[in-house]
Amino acid sequence: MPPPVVWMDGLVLSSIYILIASGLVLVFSIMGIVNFAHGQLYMLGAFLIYYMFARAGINYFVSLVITAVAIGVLGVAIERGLLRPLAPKGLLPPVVVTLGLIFLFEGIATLFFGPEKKAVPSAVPGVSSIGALTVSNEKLLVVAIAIAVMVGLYFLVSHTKMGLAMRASAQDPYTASLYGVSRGRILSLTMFIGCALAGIAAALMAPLYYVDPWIGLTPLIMALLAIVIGGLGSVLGAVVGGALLGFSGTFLIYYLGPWSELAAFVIVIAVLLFRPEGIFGRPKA
Amino acid sequence: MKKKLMTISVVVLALAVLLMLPACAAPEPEVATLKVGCIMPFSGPASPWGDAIKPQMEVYAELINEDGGIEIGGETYQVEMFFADGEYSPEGGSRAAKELVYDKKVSFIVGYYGDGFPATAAVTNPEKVIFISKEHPDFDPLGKHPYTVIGTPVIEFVDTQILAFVEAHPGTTKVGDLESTLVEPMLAEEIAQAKSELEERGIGLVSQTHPVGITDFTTYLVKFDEEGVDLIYTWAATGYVAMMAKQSAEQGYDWYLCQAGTMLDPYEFAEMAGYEAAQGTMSDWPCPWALKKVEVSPELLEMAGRIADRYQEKYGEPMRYMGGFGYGLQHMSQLFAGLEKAGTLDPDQIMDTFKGGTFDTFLGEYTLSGEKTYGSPLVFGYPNCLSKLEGYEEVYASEHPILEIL
Repeated sequence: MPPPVVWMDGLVLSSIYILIASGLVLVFSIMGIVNFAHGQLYMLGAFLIYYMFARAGINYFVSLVITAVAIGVLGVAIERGLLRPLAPKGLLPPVVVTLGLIFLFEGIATLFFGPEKKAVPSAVPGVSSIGALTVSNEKLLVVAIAIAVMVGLYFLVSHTKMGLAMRASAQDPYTASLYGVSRGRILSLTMFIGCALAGIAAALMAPLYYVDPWIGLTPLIMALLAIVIGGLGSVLGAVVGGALLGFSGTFLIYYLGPWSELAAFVIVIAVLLFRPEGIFGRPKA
Repeated sequence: MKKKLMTISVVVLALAVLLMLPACAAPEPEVATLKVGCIMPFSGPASPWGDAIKPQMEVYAELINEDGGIEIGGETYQVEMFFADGEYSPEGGSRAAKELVYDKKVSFIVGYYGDGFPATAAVTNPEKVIFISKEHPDFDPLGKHPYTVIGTPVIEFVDTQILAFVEAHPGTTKVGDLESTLVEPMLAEEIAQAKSELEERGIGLVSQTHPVGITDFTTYLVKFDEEGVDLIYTWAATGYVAMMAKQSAEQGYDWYLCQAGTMLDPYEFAEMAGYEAAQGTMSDWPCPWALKKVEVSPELLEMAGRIADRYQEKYGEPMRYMGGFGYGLQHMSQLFAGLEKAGTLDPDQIMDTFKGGTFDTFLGEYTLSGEKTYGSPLVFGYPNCLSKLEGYEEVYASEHPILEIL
């Protein structure tokens, strides 16, 4: 059995993968496209928290909320300005645009913020000891906020009118529109929430690690793997997939060392072979 | 009419004389130029290293030119530097080499800092452009790169560098080596050699490999703790080492953290790792005026000081990154020493001079063994001088020079 710190690390990684994967899957379930620039929105969020919290000295929690809103608004701008006009032209053009945005955002970040790694100080410095576990307060904060956000998202999607409209629009946009659900508003709202989740994940991760224009790639890949495992279009699948990757990542490192990376992909291949729609995905009729 | 004609003739003659005057003036002495190219990453994640070394090399060229230039075979040459972005990739290295060789017409390429040695050498060798590079696992010592010199033996120095780290911490009982899956195969032979040398001293070595791109090393650190490691050696870049320092401190591990590379910016490192966690971190430190076991010629020592002074004067901040003396500046000093000794710009004669010659560099005097390294590339030695972080300053910690190589 791995020591408690390995479990804790698995929990931290899972929290982040879940936040990013949930945003990605939310956008996919309503809009039908994978936003490949999701990782770069995460990166821009990390720079925002750096400039607000580390440089301007704005309170961390205020900075976190502003980051989430700003990245959400940027997501809406992308949806309205680029993805919506291209939607009638088929699936490929909007996807290609999101791929192009990866390089655009990385270029902009390098140009304006520089290629150097930047440090974000801890919002809650210090270390806590819980039995045999020694963990930084920052990691505890990451887990606590991630759980709170995911619970909030669950209530929003499952127990509010807005959530009902989103689910209806995801299931059958045409019928939903007959009941007065504005497809345009739902698309913008979904993009806002999905991208805000990337912003929150970035704000949580920046004090743990560092910020540079290329930090978005690994979280994006892990989030994509998580939604493939969990099932495209299923938020619950993203949660399970993210947790599976987060925990297996640390456990497999503990037991297998460098083979852990291979093992993660073996899990994905096995899921695709035996349940191509993912654990919680719905098989095509 | 006659008078008018005469006046016009005089005016025309005067104008002609005036126009001819510049042509009759004494000709300006033609200044011979030595075109030197440099390939470094100026875009992408590795660009901070290129951005840090380029101004140092420009300052060095500026100072040489102010001193009159480089004397080669009785003729004096001014140094003109050309920089190209190698993007830290084979494609980028090849593209940059083509730009420098075919467009800029450089005769030499120095300071190579990238991941595309074979692609770059494939451009320089057929054109007989002398290429001074850091070491790369793909070089062929049997003579496929006859115009290549290895100016920084970064793979050769692995085992001696580990010894230097251990010598700085006499109580070390077990070394933990943590490398990415990308780097590990490249270092395997040298790590194995280090392991056997350490075993002779009664010190163990355990290795772990991590996937590329991770930033949380806690699980690896836990395993090192379980193994009883008291010194960690890694080739990871500065940002990753800062994460290792931070995560080690969180778990209360007090081992010595040693990075193979040079610290890019001690202040930035301490900010990323946390001030307390960063203390004591050791790094490669190719600092000419800090060397204790390797002697640098007074001229080059003075030049190194002038470079640092001019840098501070020009950019308004001290020259913190010493990696330039391990790469770009060091390669320039190697090239100029070779050219002065060869007394010619003929690439074949220059390479013959390198084979078996003794050269003064910023990091000491090295003799390239003609017998052992007759097939290019030729490899310079390295001092393996190490620093330890104290506050925001690097201070001397240890040294284990490579005086003979290959």
